[in-house]
Amino acid sequence: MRINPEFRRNVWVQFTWTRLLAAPLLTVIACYAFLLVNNHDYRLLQKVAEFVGGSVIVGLWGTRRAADSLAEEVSGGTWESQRMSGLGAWQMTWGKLIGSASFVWYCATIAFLVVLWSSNRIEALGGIGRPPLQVAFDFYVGGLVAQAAAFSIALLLLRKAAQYRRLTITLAQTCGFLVYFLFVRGDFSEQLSVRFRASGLPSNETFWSGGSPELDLARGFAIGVTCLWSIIAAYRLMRTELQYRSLPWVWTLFLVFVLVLGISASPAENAYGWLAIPFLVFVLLTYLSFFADNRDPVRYRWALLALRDRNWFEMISAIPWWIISYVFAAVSAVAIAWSLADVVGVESMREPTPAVRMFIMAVGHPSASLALVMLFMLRDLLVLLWLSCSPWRSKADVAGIIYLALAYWPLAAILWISGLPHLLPVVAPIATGNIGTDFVPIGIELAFALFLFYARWREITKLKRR
Amino acid sequence: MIRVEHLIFDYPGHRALDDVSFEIAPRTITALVGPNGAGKSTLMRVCSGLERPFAGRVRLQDIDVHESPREAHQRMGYLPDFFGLYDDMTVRQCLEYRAAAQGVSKQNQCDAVDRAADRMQLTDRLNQRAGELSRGLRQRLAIAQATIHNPSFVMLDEPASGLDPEARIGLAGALKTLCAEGMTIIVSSHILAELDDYSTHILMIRDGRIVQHGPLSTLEGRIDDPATISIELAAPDARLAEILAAVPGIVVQQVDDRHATLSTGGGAATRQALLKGLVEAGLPVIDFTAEKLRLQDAYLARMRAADGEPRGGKSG
Repeated sequence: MRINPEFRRNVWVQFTWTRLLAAPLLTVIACYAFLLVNNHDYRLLQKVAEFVGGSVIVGLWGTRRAADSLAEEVSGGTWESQRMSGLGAWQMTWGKLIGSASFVWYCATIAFLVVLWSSNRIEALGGIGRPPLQVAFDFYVGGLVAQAAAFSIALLLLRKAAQYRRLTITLAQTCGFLVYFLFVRGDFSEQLSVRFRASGLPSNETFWSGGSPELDLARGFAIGVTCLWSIIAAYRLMRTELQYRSLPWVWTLFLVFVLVLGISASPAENAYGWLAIPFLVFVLLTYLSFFADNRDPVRYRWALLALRDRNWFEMISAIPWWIISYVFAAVSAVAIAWSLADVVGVESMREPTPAVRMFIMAVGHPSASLALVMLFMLRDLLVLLWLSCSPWRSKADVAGIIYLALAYWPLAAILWISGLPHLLPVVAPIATGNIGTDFVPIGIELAFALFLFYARWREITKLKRR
Repeated sequence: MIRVEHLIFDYPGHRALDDVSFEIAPRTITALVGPNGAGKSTLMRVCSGLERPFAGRVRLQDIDVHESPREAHQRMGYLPDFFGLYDDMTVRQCLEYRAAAQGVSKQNQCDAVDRAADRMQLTDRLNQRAGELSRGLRQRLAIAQATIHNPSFVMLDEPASGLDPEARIGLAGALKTLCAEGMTIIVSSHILAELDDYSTHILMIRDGRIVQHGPLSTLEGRIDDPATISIELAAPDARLAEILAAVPGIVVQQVDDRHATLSTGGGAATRQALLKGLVEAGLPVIDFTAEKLRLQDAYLARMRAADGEPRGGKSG
């Protein structure tokens, strides 16, 4: 059998005899000491071992290793050689993902054995221990989800900010740990259900079925599907990194998956109810994929030239993901607007806040508000592209985040508090029912943003030689 | 061996490679030279498939490097200017890993490791950690890694940078060995004197355009024409200046009773006639050296000449 060379290399680096022997030895000593000071409380030992094995070893340490596996190659100058190797994207992905955390998995397995042993002791004393399959699932599948997420985010970030190694791996690790915490440790679904009920908005008891017998199955399904998508994401990003040219069908498929999931999860009985959550997710994904993209003007120009030459493969392979997400959001918006009555009744809220009242105002003219959302997004994308083509393009992401943080709510809040709600469409996608005040301001903003971007685009595509 | 066709590569706002086309003959060592920022490293990165060009293509033995990068990588080796090694691994592990990663079969891995180590004189270091090696040895290990799969085409970006003279001589020997084994090599370097020792061809690049490409001898011959000749006599002889003045086709730069320096544009025939004249006149000539123009001077002369040339450069 031919072992994946990247996996084998990681194992060489990770496993030394000292480490191999020290890990179980220290665990045995620690467990013995723990039982001594805690009066042989096996239930407590089981909880601590599960926490350490899951949250600390797999969730925290494993995500760090997964993210660092790439960062240390980049900073160590070995990444170029790896990209030049004959290893394919899949071999590279799993070799790094599993290999870099191989010692983590070894330690997690020791923790798993401690959980099993303590469960066994608890059951021998007449108690009920933890089901081994569930613990194994949490450790291994949950850990893989978190590490694949951290690995993917590290791949994305290192394309943009390889020089900030610590920052990027910490960010990737944090995201990976959050995924682990939310999906595996945090009972995300139950929390959501409780929050929906507390907010007074309707919640669906069958889907967000906190405490129902199907919860474990649903939870397992959610973790499994997330795991699958995380690994696919890591693989596709690795393909891009290794200069494979590929059509963005996986991203499109993911958006379709979001759509199907949103529709099937919705308790609503009409199109606008089904599409509301997918629409919001598409909006969010448009911004996220925009920031994840390296926004290389050369690649965009290449896509435009391919379009001009009707070279469809080149054009589609160079198309940025955020455009696809925007199209999905736009189509969902049109579908929602089509299915909506002009005014939707909203259940009365207990002491609605200004933000909720703005929301009620927006859904009072849903079609116009949806159109405004799409136009405001377009404006934002143009402004962010302008920043990306500017001489300070290396700081475009930070500038873009600051812009987005300040573009909406402070001005909207000031206008609202100043008693000028009819001017809200100038700064936020909240329709008032007056076509003039709703669309003229955003039209002017769009034209200005387009002018800024086009001027910069002309400048940057006017090539100068060194 | 490798054919580059109309390569264009842009960075935002400027063109790094501008319609670059050339073909490298097999079993040659091509010196890739040019000023800082000329596009040498970009050209190597594009040829290696690490960067995708805006237009044009690179073909290695009929494989399009950018369409089938993995296949191309199994036939090429590349050492970037800033390379790293796995410091925690032994030299043997580093080589075994690279052999496996390049698709060398398990049965042939040991042989490949031994051969690569032998070629780069690392056999006695196989069990030493890469992190413990000197700079020169690290460089050799990196080249051994890049060539362990016996690629037909190898690119080395500034391989001699930071090496001491002894290590540079070792590197030159190693490159000659690789070429003798059938590999085609492109070496980029700023140290032109050392390229003179082992290169067979030269590829000059400036502002992203090829200035000259061809055998090194062509470049030297072209600029060598006004060759400088130095003459030394065993004993002073006042007739030296007089005899030299009578020889047509030479320009005497400096002369005294015992030494002379002159330039000649007449090539071998003029030099032969000059030497014959001196000997027949009974002058005790003990040294008659036609000083070969150094690559460095030839390079500078060609680059200056390129300032006034239209686009396209020369190709030999």
